[in-house]
Amino acid sequence: MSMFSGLNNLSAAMRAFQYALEVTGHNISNANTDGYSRRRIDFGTNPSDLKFGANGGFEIGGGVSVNGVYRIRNQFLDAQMSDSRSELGRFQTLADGMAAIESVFPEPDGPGIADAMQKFFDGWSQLASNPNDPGARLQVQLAGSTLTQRLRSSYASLNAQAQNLDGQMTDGFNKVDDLSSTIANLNKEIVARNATGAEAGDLMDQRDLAIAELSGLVKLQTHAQPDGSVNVTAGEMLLVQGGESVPIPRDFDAATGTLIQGTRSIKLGSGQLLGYLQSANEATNAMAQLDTLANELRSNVNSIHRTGRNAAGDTGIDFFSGTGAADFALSDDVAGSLDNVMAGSSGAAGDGSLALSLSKMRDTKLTGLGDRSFKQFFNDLLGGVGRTKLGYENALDTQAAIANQVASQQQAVSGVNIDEEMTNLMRFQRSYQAAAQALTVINQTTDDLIGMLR
Amino acid sequence: MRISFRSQYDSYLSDLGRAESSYFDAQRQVASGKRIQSVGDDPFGTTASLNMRSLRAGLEQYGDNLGSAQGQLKIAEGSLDELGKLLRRAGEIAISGANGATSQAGRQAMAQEVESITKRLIELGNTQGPSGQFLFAGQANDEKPFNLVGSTLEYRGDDLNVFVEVSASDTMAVNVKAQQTIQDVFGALQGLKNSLEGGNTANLSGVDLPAVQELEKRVQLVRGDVGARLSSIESLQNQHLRRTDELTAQISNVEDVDMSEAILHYKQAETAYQAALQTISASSRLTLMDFMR
Repeated sequence: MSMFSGLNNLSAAMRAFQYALEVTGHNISNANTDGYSRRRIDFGTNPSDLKFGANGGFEIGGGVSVNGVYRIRNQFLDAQMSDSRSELGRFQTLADGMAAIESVFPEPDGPGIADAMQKFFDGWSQLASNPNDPGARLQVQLAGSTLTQRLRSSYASLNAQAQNLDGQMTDGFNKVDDLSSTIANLNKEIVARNATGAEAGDLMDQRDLAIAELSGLVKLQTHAQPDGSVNVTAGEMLLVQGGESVPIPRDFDAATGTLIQGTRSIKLGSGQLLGYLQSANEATNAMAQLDTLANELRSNVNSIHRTGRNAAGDTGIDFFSGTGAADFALSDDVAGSLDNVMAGSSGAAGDGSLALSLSKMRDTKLTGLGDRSFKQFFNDLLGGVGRTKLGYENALDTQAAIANQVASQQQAVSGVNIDEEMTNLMRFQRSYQAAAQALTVINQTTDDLIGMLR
Repeated sequence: MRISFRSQYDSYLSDLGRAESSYFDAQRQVASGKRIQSVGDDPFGTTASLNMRSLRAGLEQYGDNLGSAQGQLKIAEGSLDELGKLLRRAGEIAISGANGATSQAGRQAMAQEVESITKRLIELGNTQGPSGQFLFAGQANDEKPFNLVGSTLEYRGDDLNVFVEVSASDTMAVNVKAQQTIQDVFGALQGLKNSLEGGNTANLSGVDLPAVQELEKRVQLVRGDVGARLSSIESLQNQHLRRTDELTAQISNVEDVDMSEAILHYKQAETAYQAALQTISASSRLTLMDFMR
């Protein structure tokens, strides 16, 4: 047998180098595939039979064989990647959400609530100065109506924003369930493949990709199992165990950022789902502040306006009506007749005292507004929205940089480098050529031996 | 660090994206001239500029109020001017009526003139402002304050002031309280007319002339008060204008871009964008494949 062992060894080597060329080809082909980790072919020497010489036994070596083809991947970076994608998902959602909230307010340049409040109080100042002028009354009525309309429409836009949450959450839950079941199915296939002893590299890449995508939605932890499967939990929630996936609970409480399962409330660590809940919460907060603003405007303006008396002697008339920002409007009396816009309390045509008190109200600090004037209260609301948006945008920039950093570290380990593959291509080609050359030489010697027999 | 094929192109893309977006931002700032497009661009700047905008709008309103006060007071000033002239004429009549050389027929003619002066006095007392309000009626200014009932002059206005808001802290009365003076003038003119008709030269020189002269001084005082208010309106208007200009400049400081700086940024961003484009097209041509054959 020893005569042909050289031939066998070399043909095995040629096969091994051919496999190596195929692995290189696989790497080059998948240079653009999401989640692909480059493969490395692992060669090993074959055991050889013992030969005997003058000084005892010796080994020549049995040539080369392929031990396996493995993924080059850093599991530690995977965990980092998963965390940074959760935060990225959360801040992306929050920054988008805050941008939508901000767009409700056209300040500083556009015609918004600040501008309408200013014109409203200016209207009273003008009426105080011209109580005889019906044009001044009309001005107050128009300014009041504009103010209520702007408050209502800002409130309605914010409300639409908060209502939008249900749809976004349903989408998010569906995606989580889809990805969980994808991971569970891949687990099953990987366990089956592992039983054959081969590494199921492509399936593992797909599973890592699904896990990375899932981590953008919800912050999760992975637990590798000895059989090759991976269990996935999100905080106290089990999402994937072996080949089974568990549907995510679909009830939630936006104010606390928790999911509700029966009597249990599950805090979300991070991810888009938490981002949706938090941005809905921001919209709700802004709505509550608009409610406060509308309520304070209504009660304070009304309490003075009710003391007014017009030429006909009517008194006790409200200026605004409503129960919050959603239904904030001019009272029917004021909307119905300019005569019900009060300028004074005596009924005298030149009495502008009440309009003057209402004009002065612009700078009055009110307890209901936390000892702030209407203007300060609204400015603080607006400044708060702007600062929160800016804060989340900055956090998003930082998080995106971190995620990029981790991704490029991961790419540095697992990504395909074309130059490297080209070098490998040349290396394995040369090796194949050398093995073929050696085979030719051994073939020649065998040929010579057989020729001697002739 | 090992550079993978993917991360090489990913970083081309993100570098290009960054260069493109800062190029776009710079372009937008130059085109709009605005540094703050929405609150989130600069929350602190926005609230500061909103405060200043509100102050400025307030000043505009006070400016309008001052304009309307000025209109009313100027009309009142004109009426008081004319009233002063009427009183001077009444004084002249009293002097020539007291002159022994004047015939009783001449005094009768003078009494006629005093009668028409009285009529004009009532008209002046009922002077109306730009919106039809009666300027000498206090707050009850929607009906004629001075009405001749038989031989008495009735006042139907009240004693209250009509105020105009002229600044955040101040108000100014725009009506003229002249009820007593006008009624006294009426009384004095009645006396003058009676003395003329009765040929009472002693009263004409001893009672009527001093009364008319005294009243002329009182009208001067009222007119002086109106004049003082008019000049303080002017100084307030100037103050508001100056403050408005200051605020406009400050608002622009906060909201608007510094053009030369913005254009410089724009050029920088443009250069960076071009550089990114060029680097990418140059370096993506470099692979080992170009050297293999």
